[in-house]
Amino acid sequence: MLDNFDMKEFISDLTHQEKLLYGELGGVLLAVLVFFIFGLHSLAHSGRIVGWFWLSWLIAWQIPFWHFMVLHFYSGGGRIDERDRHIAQRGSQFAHVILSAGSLLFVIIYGLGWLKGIGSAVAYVGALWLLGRTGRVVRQLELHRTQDGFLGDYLKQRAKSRQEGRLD
Amino acid sequence: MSRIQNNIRQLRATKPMTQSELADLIGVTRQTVAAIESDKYSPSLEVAFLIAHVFDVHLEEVFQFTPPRAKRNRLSERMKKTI
Repeated sequence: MLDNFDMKEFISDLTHQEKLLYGELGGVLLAVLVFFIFGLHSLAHSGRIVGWFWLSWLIAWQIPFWHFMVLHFYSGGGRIDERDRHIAQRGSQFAHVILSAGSLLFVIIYGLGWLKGIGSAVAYVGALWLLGRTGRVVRQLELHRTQDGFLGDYLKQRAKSRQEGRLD
Repeated sequence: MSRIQNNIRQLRATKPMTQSELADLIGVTRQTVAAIESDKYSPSLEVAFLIAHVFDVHLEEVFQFTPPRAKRNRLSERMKKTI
């Protein structure tokens, strides 16, 4: 009977939500790759980034991606529970921090006149959007495996061992 | 580690019941049960009550909470002031 009574210490296989996140991460990384390869290419050849191209690329990339997500969700591929929702919230909070910092930086560099033309501004927003999204997905994947992220868990563990040392 | 600890693993051993079976009964994923067991996730009250219901025990027999000393002291001081 003990064979049937699993004693898995922690998560040994991927949840439905994690599979979706890995799919999303693959898509985001693909978009990042295309974004930077073409961005650097156009920068090297024309000396400027053609922002509208990136915007249309990002929108075009979204369509099949969301199609996949919606289909997968409604196909009943797996269960999404309160922990998944909690992790999704924390991932979104992390993305908000990235987007807020990026927006502030945008205002500063726009004010300084470093952004030349609408194309560069659109490219910046596109890059920021991708960065926020990548940050959210990576943070969520991290939280699926840890309690407070790898750094958070490490700091907590350190504080705990320090406190125990002081008590001894 | 969370300050909320639990005896789910021991309670499962008495049944005996797998993580997946418990997860199916309370409507969460197996990974969530594993995370709760290893004190990496504190469940909602609803899930906590459901777990206690599955094992037919009181909530306190499944989950134990020890607040940090500083928090306990603060709470005692506030209680002295208000009561």
